[in-house]
Amino acid sequence: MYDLYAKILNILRLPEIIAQLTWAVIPFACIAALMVFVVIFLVLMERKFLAWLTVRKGPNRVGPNGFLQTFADAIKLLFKEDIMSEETNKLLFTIAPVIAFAPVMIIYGLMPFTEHLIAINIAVGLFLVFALSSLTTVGIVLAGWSSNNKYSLLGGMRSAAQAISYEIPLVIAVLSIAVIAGSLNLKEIVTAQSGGLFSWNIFPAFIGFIVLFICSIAEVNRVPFDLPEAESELVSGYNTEYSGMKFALFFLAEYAALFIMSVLISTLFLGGYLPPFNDYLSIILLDNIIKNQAIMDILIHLEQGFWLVAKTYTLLFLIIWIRGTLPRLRADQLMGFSWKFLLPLAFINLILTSIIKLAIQGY
Amino acid sequence: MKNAVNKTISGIIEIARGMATIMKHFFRPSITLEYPEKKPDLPPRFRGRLALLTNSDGTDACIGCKSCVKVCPCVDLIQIETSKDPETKKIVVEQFTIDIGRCIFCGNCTEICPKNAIVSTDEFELADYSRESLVFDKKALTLDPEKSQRLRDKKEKEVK
Amino acid sequence: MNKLIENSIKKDMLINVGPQHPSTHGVLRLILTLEGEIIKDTKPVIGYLHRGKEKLAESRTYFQYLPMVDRVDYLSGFFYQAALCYAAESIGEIKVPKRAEYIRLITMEFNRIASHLLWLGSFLLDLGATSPLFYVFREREKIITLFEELTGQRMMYNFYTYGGVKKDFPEGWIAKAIDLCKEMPKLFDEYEAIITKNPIVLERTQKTGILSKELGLNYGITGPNIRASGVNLDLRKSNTYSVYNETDFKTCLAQSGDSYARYIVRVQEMRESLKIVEQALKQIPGGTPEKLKVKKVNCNCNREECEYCGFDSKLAEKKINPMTFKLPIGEATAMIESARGIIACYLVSDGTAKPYRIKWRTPSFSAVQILPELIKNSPYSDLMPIFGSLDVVLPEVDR
Repeated sequence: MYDLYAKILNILRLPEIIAQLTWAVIPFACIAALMVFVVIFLVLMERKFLAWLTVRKGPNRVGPNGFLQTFADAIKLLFKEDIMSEETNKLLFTIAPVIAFAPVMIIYGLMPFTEHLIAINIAVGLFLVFALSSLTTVGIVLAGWSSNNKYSLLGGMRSAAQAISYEIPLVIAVLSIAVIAGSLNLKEIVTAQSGGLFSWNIFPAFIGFIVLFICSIAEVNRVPFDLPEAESELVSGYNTEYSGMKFALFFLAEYAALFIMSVLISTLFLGGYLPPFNDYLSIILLDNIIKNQAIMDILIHLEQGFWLVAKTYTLLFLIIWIRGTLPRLRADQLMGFSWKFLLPLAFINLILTSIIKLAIQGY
Repeated sequence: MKNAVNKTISGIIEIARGMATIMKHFFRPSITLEYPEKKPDLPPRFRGRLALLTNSDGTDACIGCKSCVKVCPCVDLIQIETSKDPETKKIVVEQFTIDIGRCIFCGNCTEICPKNAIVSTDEFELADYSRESLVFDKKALTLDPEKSQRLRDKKEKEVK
Repeated sequence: MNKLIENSIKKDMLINVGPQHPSTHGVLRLILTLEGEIIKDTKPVIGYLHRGKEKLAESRTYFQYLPMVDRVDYLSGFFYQAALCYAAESIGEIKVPKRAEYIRLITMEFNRIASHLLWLGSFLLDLGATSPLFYVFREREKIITLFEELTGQRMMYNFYTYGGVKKDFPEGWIAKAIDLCKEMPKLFDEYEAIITKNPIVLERTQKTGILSKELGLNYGITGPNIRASGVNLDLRKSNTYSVYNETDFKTCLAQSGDSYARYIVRVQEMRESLKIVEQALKQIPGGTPEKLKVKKVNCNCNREECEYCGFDSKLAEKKINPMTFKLPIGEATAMIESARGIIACYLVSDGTAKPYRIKWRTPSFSAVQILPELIKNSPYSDLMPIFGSLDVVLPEVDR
């Protein structure tokens, strides 16, 4: 791929050094673009789905069927006045949304979207994902504290407690995946699940899937775990005092984290970009028609992207459906649920998958 | 232990039932009325803005008895000034001003008017940019004979 | 020195759940003293919605005051009109025809259902479930459309008068109302499927905000709040007014007195109200207005007891003249069981066309006073579910 890129730049008569420098930047530019696009679509999808679940129509005035609604919201937020009260710690106030947002962007780079589209392919990919997702909590606590507002402080504290207590079952559930796949590299985890529907990780580790699903909803602060931003109690929790672009960053961070958590669950449990059949649909259907290998490669690539997107959006639909139905859990019930229910389940899952892995490997 | 498992299972079943109920609504048509493209269907008894009627020969139906002023809950909402015509000895209504911005649309004046001269139309979109523009004088309140006859027929049908 | 150390170690935080809040059901200010997340003390501050309804009555004639009455609590307008009319009719010894009483009963019970529906939606919104709010408004829309066809307005009805009601049903109203009564229980079943046995709702509302019988009776709590604690106090059965004694319904009770019990009692009350309305619609003397008109013309006997031409088929004993309507000197109290509790209207008349004094006793005023007792030593997250389950509506508190 790099040779192709260097050849193109050569034709445009640019020196070699530019090709070397910019080659590293392109994946990240793509990721940034992907993130923005995904979040815009996700916000709109959530509003429309919630509206359809409650016999309404969603936004339908801006753009055809409401497609440009999020653009309108983003432009509005750009124009808003940036309000900061006198006594806030200005540095921390400004940095907090950035800390909440930046790690999510890095996680986007670690995910295998298709076989070749993975920006950072390192041996400890899985480990790095969870190390980074803990950093977002720091941003939320900073936001709560530096707002100089008791409501925000309460929201920030609650969020910290919640994030810490839900990370432990999360990591233990994911540990069972590492046991099955034998490695922490995300791409190898996906390739270990090839072979059709029944070799996906969800089957030996079903309990782990449930635990990971619930914990990832809690990590992103969504209903039924959205106590830090409970609207009816704390007005808006830790982002009460934020306005304009900083608020947009928090908003963006939450939806981006939601998307990437769904991609993570699909990658770990549902086979990532692999199809549920034995082989790719392109090969099954079009094997004798298309003889050119390059075109077949591109088709397979596209199909991989399609499968990942389909699985991710199914999970997102489920998450939005849960948001429309369930009420909120109280703070201590939240903690009790995590420590007394999910943690034992995660351990049981770990033991079970280890036994299954030993049994299979024994043959 | 058994209790915990039972509770968990029944909890999951109830949550699933709730989610299925909400999913049913996904497939029902939405109940949104897209205002302002579609206006709501107003019943005949709707109490909207007040208006004065005229007879079929063009004269005002109002006889200047000031009953409506006496039953209005808002003090000084309706201001009427009358004078006596020296020739016919009849009362002529010179000024009839209603501050529609303060009217509470209770309908008391429409019930008591002996000549059915003041009625409720079905206008409810009265928003404007200044409070002064919502003070309607006699000319603004009066409807032409055709509209008056329609409203009169509607009220007759209602009363019967 | 010791006091200084003590004060610096004390960890109480004063938080203001201010007049502007997404969830205080109006403009109520609560000054909370928190220790960590546990509430130690609460002080409600009211008066942000005071409109002077009792004082305004002293400078308005009886007819002029009628439209202002249903704005005392705009969610249960019919109950307040009923309280005033019964008080005035008691002083002036005005008899109300039976048809008018039936119309009053039907409208009051529909209003109870509409008010409970709104309570249900906002209670669940406080808990965090956002969908049932929209379903509730869909149901309420059906009831309010019926009211709009009957009275002309969706919320400020101005429909009752001293001696009866102002207008009869329009054509087709009774058929529509009966259809609505038949389809509503299925919709209530849907709400119950979403909420009643939901484990999250159960965990958040059971065993919180327990109201004991003695505390409730001492503070004067009435209505569904006290019935959920086991006290059988329903004014429709104990001091019957209107024609409730001709309809058959049961009082809904619960024993535990927590927020969940209050929820259960209100949902059951909605179903009972539907039964009352259905019975009343079938039993109304004279039947539908079209039938009444035809039978009156055919019968034309003018006897008092005749079902179609007699007193009971009228809408009001005699049409009052709004300008010269006076009540004799006297005073009376009328008590009505409204959606939130007992309303009492104490009317003092001095023989002129304007009342001398009207006093309104409202149930939400007592319910706000019991909030500090109920949330002592509960975590902060319990504030909104407990407050929501008490069904406090601020216009009633402040008048």
